[in-house]
Amino acid sequence: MDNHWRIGVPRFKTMLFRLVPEETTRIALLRRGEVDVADVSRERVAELEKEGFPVHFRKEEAILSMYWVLPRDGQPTADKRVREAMNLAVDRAEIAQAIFAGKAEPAFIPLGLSWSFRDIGFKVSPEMVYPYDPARAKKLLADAGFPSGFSLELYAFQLPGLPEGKAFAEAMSGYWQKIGIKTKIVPLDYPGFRKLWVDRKVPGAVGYYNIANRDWIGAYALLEKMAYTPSKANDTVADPEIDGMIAQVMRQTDREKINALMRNIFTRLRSEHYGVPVVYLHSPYATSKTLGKWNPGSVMYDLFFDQLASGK
Amino acid sequence: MIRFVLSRVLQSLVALAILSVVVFVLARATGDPLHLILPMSASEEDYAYARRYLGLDRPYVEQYFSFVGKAVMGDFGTSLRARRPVSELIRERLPNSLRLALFAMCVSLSFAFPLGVLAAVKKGTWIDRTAQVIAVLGQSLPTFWVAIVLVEFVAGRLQWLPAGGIAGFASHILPGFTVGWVVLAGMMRLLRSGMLEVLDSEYVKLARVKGVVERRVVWLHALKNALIPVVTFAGIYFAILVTTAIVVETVFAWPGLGRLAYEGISSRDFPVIQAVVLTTAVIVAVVNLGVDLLYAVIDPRIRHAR
Repeated sequence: MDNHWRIGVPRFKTMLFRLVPEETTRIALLRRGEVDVADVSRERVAELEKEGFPVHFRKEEAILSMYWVLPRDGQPTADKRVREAMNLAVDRAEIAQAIFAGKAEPAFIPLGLSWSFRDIGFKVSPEMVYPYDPARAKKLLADAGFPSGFSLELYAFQLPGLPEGKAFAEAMSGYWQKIGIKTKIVPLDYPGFRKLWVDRKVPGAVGYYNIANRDWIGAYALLEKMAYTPSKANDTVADPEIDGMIAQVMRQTDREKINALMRNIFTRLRSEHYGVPVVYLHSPYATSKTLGKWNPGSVMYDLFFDQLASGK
Repeated sequence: MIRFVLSRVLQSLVALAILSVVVFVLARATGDPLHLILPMSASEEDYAYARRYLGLDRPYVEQYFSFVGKAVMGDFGTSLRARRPVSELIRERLPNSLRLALFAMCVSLSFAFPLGVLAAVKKGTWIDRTAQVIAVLGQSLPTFWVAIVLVEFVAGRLQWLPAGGIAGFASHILPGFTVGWVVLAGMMRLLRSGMLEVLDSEYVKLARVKGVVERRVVWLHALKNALIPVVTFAGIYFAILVTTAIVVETVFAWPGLGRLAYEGISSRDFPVIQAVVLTTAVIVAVVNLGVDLLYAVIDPRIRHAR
């Protein structure tokens, strides 16, 4: 249209979305000027920036969070000290730098969708930050009755937006091997792992997902699936206290009370170590040199293309 | 000849029937497609509803006969992922694959014939050695590597040609060359060895003794008899190019049948997988029949024997 009440006269007449699976081809199209925006992998950002292509990041677009397949009964991870040890054994800063080319930030709250934190007033306190402490991790394992470690299956797969999936799994395996956990990497595509997870065929095994970040309502919907016992198949937490808090959120209409409940849920997920949060991933989008200013924003699945087209 | 054609058609129908069972079973053995269609937070109730909606809750035998009954009428069901009729997707994609395959075959034939014949006629010279190097490279370099190198350097860095998609004649060149390169190498080698054998035969020597011009000896008398293995190779590869150029179609974002197959397999889209496999089988059967008929045209001995 000629003049929109919100964005004025659009800078572009048409917007075409092209499905181009191969990254090399997307970058070639960008270089040729055939596309204006291309999503690229983190490892090619430096090369494109050197050529003068602006690269915009959706900061913390996803949290790469690991979780155990339930049930926990009879598994080493039934002991909170083991779960804490597996978190302390991981050097998150090193992973962010080495695996994700510095385009990631350490994460410390299991299932902690940070875009929701600002909505509910949640802050990650210094005590919540996991240090990298393999010595303390080994001691915790010994205290829990595993001085020689134990065996663990880690399912490794790529995911959309996570081409580094298998390299990441190998790195995590390395950290856990160092504290005595004999990690066996099982390469399997995600649908194959998902079936094992929801059918609870491999209790105690570890999987992961790059969960898209979102606001508090989206975060609640995710917790209601992945941290809530009545959701059965998808639950990864099995904690009656968290179940109670999630059920209360459902019935609550007072926003302040909802915020307080949500903060308590995240606090308990962290204090009980219900998962291994690793990093928040920044997603790069390279643009043509003539495109101009663009803020890709921080709203789930919305890249603010309307702002890009804005004439105001 | 008619009996021959009819018997080949009947054989193909039996093969298609067996293939339909195999692809039906194997597609379902790869796992539940709903894990890919539904979000990770989907509940058991969501799964049950989706299964009912997509007809995946019916017994396998019922699903199979429903699929076959509709497939013979050209209805391959609805894509689980795209939510569109599969026959529509195939109608959109197949012409693109045919175009690419035809372009690649034209390029290959244009170069393979003169190079293969010259390599045989000028055996031991630099022409022959160059042709052999091209043949070795063509058959040893992986297609995906060639595709990515061409995209990166020819399209991206030098910007001589388009990088992907279908947009005019120029967009056919890089993908066409990538798939045609393998065919060119194979055809050239077959033609060279076939020509070397034929050029040494008695009737060719007789033609020379009779004073026939060398050009006619090579291009008319010898070439025709060296063609049979080349025709077989070209036929097989044409069917392969049309139906399974998955890597090239993915790298060049070419919306063809191979890429449709890849998308179907990645998302466990059973109706798409089944339809693509059956379409592939039909194309292979038709091409093989065409090749057999071409033999009869090229070689009268085959025509009379049938």
